[in-house]
Amino acid sequence: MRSGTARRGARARLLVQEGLALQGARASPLPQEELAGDSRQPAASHQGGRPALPPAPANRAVARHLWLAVHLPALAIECLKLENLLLNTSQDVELPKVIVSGEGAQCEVVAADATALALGIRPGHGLNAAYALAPQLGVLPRQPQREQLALERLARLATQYTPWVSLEAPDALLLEVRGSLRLLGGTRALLARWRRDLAREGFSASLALTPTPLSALWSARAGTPGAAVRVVSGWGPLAAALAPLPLTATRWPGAVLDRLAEAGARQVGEVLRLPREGLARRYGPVVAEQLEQALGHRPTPRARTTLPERFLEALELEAEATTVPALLPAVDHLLAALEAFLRGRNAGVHGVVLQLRHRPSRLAKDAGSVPRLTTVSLGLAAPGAAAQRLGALLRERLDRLELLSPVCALRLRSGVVVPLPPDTRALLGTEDAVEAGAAEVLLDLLRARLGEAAVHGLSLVPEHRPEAAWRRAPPKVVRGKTSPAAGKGPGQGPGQGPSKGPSQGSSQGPSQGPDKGRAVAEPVVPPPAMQRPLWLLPAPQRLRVREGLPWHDGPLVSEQGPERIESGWWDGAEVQRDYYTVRRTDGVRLWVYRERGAVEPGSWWLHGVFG
Amino acid sequence: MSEGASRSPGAPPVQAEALASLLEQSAGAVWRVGLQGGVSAFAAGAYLPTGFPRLSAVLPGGGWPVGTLVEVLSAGSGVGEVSLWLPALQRWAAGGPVRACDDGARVPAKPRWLAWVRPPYVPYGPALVQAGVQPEQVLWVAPDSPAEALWAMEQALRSGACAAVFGWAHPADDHALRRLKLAAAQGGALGVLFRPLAQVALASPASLRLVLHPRPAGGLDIEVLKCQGGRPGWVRDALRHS
Repeated sequence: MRSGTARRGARARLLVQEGLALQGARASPLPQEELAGDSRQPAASHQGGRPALPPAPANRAVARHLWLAVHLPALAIECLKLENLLLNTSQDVELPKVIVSGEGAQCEVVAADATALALGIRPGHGLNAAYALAPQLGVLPRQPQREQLALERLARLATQYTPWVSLEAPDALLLEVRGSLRLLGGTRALLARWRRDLAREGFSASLALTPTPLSALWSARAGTPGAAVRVVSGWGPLAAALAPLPLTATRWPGAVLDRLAEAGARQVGEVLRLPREGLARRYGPVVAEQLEQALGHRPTPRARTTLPERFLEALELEAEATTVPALLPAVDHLLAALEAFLRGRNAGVHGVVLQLRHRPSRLAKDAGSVPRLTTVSLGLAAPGAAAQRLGALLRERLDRLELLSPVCALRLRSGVVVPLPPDTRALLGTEDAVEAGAAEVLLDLLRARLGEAAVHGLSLVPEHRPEAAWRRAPPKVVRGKTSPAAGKGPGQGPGQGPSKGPSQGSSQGPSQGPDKGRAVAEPVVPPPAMQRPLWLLPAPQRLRVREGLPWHDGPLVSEQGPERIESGWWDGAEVQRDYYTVRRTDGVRLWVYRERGAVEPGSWWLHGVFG
Repeated sequence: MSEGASRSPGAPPVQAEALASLLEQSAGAVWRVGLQGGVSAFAAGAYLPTGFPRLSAVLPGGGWPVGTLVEVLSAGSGVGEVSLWLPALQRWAAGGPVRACDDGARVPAKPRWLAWVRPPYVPYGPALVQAGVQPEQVLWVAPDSPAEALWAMEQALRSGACAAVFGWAHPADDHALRRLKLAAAQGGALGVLFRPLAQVALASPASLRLVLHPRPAGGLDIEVLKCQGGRPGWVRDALRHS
């Protein structure tokens, strides 16, 4: 019976594998169609020539990995554009802009914006050539650090789709997606989602999907952003798909490329046709090795990028924001990045800190008075990841913020990243699941708007002194049933009566009272006979005395008392009082005491109100 | 006669059930007293026994209405305005049973907070425990202004995380009270707004308006100023247990 189920299980697994294989096979027609245009002709010539490399083994008809290469040809300029998220469309947007690298005569254009491209400026042009085409050219230096940051940001986004993301500096990413294709609904759905993400982030990329990292990279580099994605999902068509790629896509050293060009090879296919034995000897080991890697004959190890465990991202605003609403798009953008970061690791944060950097004041006399940095920190009652929820809470904070001077940059920092517990739902009905988070959401909302200090709970302290018997505590999110009322607490209340009061307070208090009370969880609750008022005054209020009796907007009539409380000689806040419950003529009941201590003996004080 | 006697205990519930299902089908077409304008919060129609027989006898449904706003007017604090609520609330907040009305609406038995928004003094823990309310059930919100207090009350009422919300917010206009009432219906919570006696003359959207008159010799007379589904009136010495 047991082996029978085991066999069934194995069979079921086999079927699933077949299903995967079938899906892979089904996915392949799409690429071949797309590739038909450029691959057919070289494939024919390939058959005519003598194959330099043996075809991939037949038993690996379906590749184990599928690599999605993301090549960002305009990263150098797009990473700067991203920082200017709130760029006003003012006159200087009309100016063509280019990013350059190198110095003097070697200075060449690395990337150009749309205006510059329209004027005919291309990456690779010398700076002088660019000036000739557009005299009013905005020239910016390349910022490798920002490029790296932008690449990391994209890698973070990519961790939503696969845990295996490799950073291919300076301008590409590799994602292994075979494992998550089924989850994401196939190649088409994955590519569509990833393209949407890229567009939202403001990057133009050319994509390629092939079974090896190098082939994917080369294909992506050869493509142009916006063109059809090159997809090769099996080993069979891989060599044919690589053949038409220009050799520049391999980024081999210039000298090697020159020598290959002398031999008449300008495309990958032409190198593949060269005799294999001579490749390494004539053109260096890199060429032979990388060709084998591209075709999958040799492994290409790719490191998995591990991203920092804390989220920190900054955004510079080119147009300074003078009002809070002008900041909100930028905040939303940062929060969206945070959410992607957290999704990638199925984690949440307990809070975030948003820093607004202000423009330094132009007036010297204001320099000291205007702060350079405004910090808004937000704590959550339960770890959260949703940008929408965090955004709503931050907005509550920001709405109440007054910007003393214009903001020129934002920085969002996460608190400690903690794993999110899986979402548990009831099988029948979802009401409980919805309500479970209600308390946390309410707490966050109240704290965000009113401040941490304005929201608290209560806890009892085992103390006889009324003002010390309670304490503010963080609100407790109640789950499950609480124990029934403990109103009938132990009878060790403050002063069992005036007769026993003094001896109990002074002798028993220090040795046993507080220490024992702290050890046991049950707090000291006065017996029902010793009624306590629902309202306690923050500090006792001195009462006037008329004809020897206390007076508070009228004469006071004693209802209960005295209850003697003597305690606390050991910590300098000694209390020696006789408490009375009194009623005013208009029916208001008050809790008053008569001082018995050394300071102002016999004076009357109001300490509570029976609300 | 004997036939009639045997049927009479069984028949009314069947009729009530049929009537309830009929009303449910025609939701919106028939206006029912006690339901919040068709919003039909899950707690609408449920009542909390007050714990004071004289008071319960006057209120429709025999208790405090849940999922709506109640206004309490008194000359000041110290007349027992809060202790009036504690017998009913300690059981509910701890997840105790609540008497449901005939149309089947039930209040979920689930421990929830008692929120205190901008109370005039410190809510004193030992006194709450004496009244049967656990200190961990207390959510104490201390906003700076009455406007913030109204906002906080609204959020707390709507959240579903609070069994009851006590608020001290003056001044509060008609619009704000309407919002509170709606939020209470959405969250199935009991909202209690404490206001000064001067507001007696002004109209209010609250479902229940009470004026507290302390008796000079102790005890409390309660004037029911407005009562949706019931009648205005006086309850003499309301807190006496006989």
